[in-house]
Amino acid sequence: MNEKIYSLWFLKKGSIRNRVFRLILLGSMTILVVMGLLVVYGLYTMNSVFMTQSDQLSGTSAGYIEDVTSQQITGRLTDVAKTRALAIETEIWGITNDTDYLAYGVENVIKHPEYYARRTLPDPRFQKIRPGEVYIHQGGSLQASGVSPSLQQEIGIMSNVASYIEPMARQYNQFESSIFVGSKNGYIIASDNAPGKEYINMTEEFLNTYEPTERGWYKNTQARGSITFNDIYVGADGYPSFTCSAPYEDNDGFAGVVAIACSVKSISDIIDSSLMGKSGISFVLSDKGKIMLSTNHEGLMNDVDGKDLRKDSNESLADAVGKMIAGESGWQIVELEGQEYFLAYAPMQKIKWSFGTIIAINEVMTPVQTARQHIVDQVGGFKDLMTDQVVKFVLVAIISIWSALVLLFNLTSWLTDKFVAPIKELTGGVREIASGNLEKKISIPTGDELETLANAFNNMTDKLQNYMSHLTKVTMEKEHIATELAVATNIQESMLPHIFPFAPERKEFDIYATMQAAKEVGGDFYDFYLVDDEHLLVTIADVSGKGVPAALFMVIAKTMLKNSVLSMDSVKSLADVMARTNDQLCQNNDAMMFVTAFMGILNLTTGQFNYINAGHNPPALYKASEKRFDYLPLERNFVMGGMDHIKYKGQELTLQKGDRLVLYTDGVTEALNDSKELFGEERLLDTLNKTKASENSAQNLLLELEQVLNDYVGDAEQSDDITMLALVYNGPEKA
Amino acid sequence: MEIKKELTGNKLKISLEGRLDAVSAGDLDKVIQSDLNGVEELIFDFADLDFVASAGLRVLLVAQKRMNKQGTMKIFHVNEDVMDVLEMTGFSNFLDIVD
Repeated sequence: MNEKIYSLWFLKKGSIRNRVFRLILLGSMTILVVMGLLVVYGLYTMNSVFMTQSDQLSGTSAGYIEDVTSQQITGRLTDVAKTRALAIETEIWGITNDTDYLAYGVENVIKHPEYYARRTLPDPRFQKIRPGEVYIHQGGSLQASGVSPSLQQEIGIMSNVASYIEPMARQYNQFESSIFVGSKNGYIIASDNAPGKEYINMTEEFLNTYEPTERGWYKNTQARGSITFNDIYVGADGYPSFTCSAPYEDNDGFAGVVAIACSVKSISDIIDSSLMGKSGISFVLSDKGKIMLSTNHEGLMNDVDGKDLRKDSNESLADAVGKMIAGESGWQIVELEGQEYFLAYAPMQKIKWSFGTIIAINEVMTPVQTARQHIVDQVGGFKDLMTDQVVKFVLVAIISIWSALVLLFNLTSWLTDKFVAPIKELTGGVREIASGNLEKKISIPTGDELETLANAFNNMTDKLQNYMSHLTKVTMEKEHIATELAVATNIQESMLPHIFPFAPERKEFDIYATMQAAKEVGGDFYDFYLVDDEHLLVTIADVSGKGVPAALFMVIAKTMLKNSVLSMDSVKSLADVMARTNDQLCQNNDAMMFVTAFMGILNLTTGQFNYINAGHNPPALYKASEKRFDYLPLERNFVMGGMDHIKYKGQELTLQKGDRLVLYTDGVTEALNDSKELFGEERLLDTLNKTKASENSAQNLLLELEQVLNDYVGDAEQSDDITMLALVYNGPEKA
Repeated sequence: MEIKKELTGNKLKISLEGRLDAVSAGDLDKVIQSDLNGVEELIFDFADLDFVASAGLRVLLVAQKRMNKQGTMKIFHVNEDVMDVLEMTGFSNFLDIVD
């Protein structure tokens, strides 16, 4: 698991500085990258939303402008059509009324001749006629046939019509206009207006051949039998000329036609004022589907062709014309010569005509298109600006992030160094302490775990110092004691006979002894000395316990024994020596220490060996005659020092030449090997029997035994003092 | 070595197990020094005692001397090895060893 973690780059094994550095750097970079991604995502989203929205915005706003404009245009066109239709109707209706009134006046005169006297009107053939002046003109056929008296009478009466015409002519004197009455009898009574002229200009042809009953207006009106609107034409003054005519009757029926022909500038103005745009055309449609008047005199919707538009091959136009004649008002789209037009129309109800005005849709919509283009351009420009800003922002962001990264790298490095500095100081301090400078104090006042650690180190150094000084002291004390103990060892060793061979001049015996203390000083001791020329005394003893207390007790025991022995008078009193020494040892023996001892005295001449055993291990005796070792039979006397007033029983035997005695302490039999097994008395006896006892000197015997014992013990620690003494009796010296 | 103590009234039974050598003799010595107050009958059980060193004998001697003043002391179940030591040192003459 750990291996896995450490295989990650930022946790890879390395110095703390590098790991911390990598961790901080990774963390900061992650945040930076996430923020960067968020910003990029935000920018992207905002940009795409803006792009979509701006397209929609330009689309919808342009569409809205189109709709509003269309509504306004068509609404305005319809309004214009309505008001213009009403205005034209009013104008035309005035003329119609005048015509009607004139016909009534003429009938009033012709039906009631008795009320009128004859009147004579000027004749343009004979005199010049002024504008507004009423004149009479005889047609060409009447001139040819001549005027009969009755007709003369009729003309004289009819001339009274002038009193109706004159005021009416003044009413129209602003325009080129004519007011005339054409009789079935071939004459006309008329008045002409020609603004700005002194006389009315009349051609010879008119004066000679003009025949009223042959004229279109006359014929149409006669055929129709009611008020008739005749075709509009453009008069000499450039204005549309309009003729309204009505029949009149005498007492016999149809008698002629009255007519008002006027060039009506106001109608023209009305129509012109309704024009819109360059492609606009206004027109007046008659109830027969003919264009009576138009702003166009050629091309589209002209007022010259005179076609019946109800039957036009253009269905949209024919449909619209149908609605116009039906007296409807409104607007619709018509297609004319491959272009679409708005057509608005309104009826002139009194005269059953309709007013229409058209305008090319694309012209109306040009501003809309411009507006749309303008919006699209604006939005496009804004989009470009936006893209530009985004690019700039991204550039700035890249530079900023790069700068931030560089700054971050340096900052992280600096921070990490700062963070790791105490650790480095701590490491250096610890290294210095480790190299032995315990005086070194680490000071890291960071207030965190490192300070605690540094303090712990300082604490440890202090304790270490204390411990070392204590150790030095203890060691010195120990060395002191050891020195003293070494001296004590020397003293103890020197207390025991240690110069071998002992008494080499005496050939009767050979003696050797060793003591190996488990500690510096021991509780075992041996002793041998010549009591007198004949007697050799041997002692081996073991004080209970070990070490200094045992050694002290041993010194006392050894000294007391020797003193007692040296003051005895007979070898028989060895038991008394023992008893006396025991009593002495028991005095003031609060520690309850005791000593086991074996003591014997050998008569070098006779070989008699008197011995006494105080609780000690039985010595091994080699009898040369039997050539084997055996344990010496012993009395069970109590140890010395344990209890006073004890009787000790002595024993006796006679040594032969070549006999050997081996004395030892329990350190031999109770020696332990690695398996904690005792060396034991049996093994001791076996070992002794395996030696070449008869040949060995006392020293070699012990060395051999010691070798076996060492092999047995091996690496196990020596648990008790080991003391051995060997005595070889060579028989009496031959004198 | 293991020292088991069993006090019943004024009767104290001490069972020893293992080796009563120089080291463990110190432990036994402490027991003898501190636990014998008011004890009139001291019983040692040597059934599991393998070995007695001279230091151990000293403690037995101390205990015997103490008990001589305030009561009795008996030793039970002494094995052969230990008996050898007791006999050799003459302790068997002074100690009340019960077979």
